[in-house]
Amino acid sequence: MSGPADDPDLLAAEYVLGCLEAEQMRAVEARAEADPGLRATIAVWQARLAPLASAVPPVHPPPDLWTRLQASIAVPPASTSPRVAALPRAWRSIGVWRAAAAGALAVAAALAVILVVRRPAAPDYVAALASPNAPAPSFLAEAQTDGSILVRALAAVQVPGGRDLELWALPVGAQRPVSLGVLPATGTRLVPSNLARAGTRLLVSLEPSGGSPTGQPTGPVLLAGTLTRLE
Amino acid sequence: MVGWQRVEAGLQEFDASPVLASLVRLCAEGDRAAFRRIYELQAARLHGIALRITRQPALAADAVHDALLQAWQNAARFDVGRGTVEAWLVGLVRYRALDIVRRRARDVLGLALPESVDADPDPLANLLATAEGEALHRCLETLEEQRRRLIVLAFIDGLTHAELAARLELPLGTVKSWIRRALAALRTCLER
Repeated sequence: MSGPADDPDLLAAEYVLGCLEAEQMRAVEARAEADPGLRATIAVWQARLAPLASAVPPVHPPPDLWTRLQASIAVPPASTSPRVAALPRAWRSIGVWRAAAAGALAVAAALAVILVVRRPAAPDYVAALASPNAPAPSFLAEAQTDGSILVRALAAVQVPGGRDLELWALPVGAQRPVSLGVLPATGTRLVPSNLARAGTRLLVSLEPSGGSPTGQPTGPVLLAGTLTRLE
Repeated sequence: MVGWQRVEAGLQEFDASPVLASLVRLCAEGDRAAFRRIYELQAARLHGIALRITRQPALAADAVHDALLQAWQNAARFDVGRGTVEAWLVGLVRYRALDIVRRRARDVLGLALPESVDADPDPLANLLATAEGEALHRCLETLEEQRRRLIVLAFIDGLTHAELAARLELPLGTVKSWIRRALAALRTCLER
């Protein structure tokens, strides 16, 4: 019978499973350092088996753990370039991300504002519209003070010929989404609306050309995000 | 065409993963606030996993510390094409926890086995929350019960071949070959 020694895939699986002895584990790690194929195989098994971890109930770590980690990360990662390292300061200014061009920088800055920076007295709501497994959002939606929503494309969205993207709003507690119209796959669009509130979900579905004929999404929802108040 | 019911059911998946992936990107650029957010979202989950393997709170906290520090230092190398942030972090904390127990705890404790933990189907029901978990759950159910127990005990409790053999009172060679066959069967089932 063939063993893991001649089946690198099963060796990777055993490594991920965690049943190898310490020296075997280290041998696999040493091999993986020099072997991108083995690293990829390990990653595949990691993705396959990781859901098993959800069988373990979460347990809060001791309160001093964050303090320790904070001390440990006081030295920035070696890969940090000076340009990038300077960014977090820039993110504190909301004008910077509003003005930022589409692309990774805008995505990063927008998310930093949404998730991280708590700005006092900012009137706007924003949502990052992303697909479930995408590394980054495709659109950034920003509510204007008059209730309209400015939607900017941040990344290219593939739209098959003869189809259109349609934007929907689902306010908290609503049973059905409300159409906000067809959305261009690139560029910026100002969408008139009075639904820009915290917690309103924005959805983008794929519809026949010109939009859903039924007034409800008929195609798959490709992107979603929740309007979050910047405060 | 997908009806609204289906759309609604699928919405749960939408929020967590891209947010974590975006936070990892920010970490790669040195953003400590993003790292704090990852900590808030994931620390308890990772600590639970580490505690199950190390059986000692101090060692579990060390494993989570080391894993999250590694995540911070290697954030730029995280490849979204190879899996979710959740799976990546689970991998990091499990290897740290396994390394710690293999190096230290079991030197001190001898070969003391953890308290009785069974692969009872109840905790596995948590797998059904995600599409990947559902697929794994379905494939685990196709395995013979003993082999499924081996896989679950090895992954969740971090037991070695030898510890599994002692726990289940099976010959070491049997444990090794059953695990290999179970992993090969899972691979076939998950690739289907």
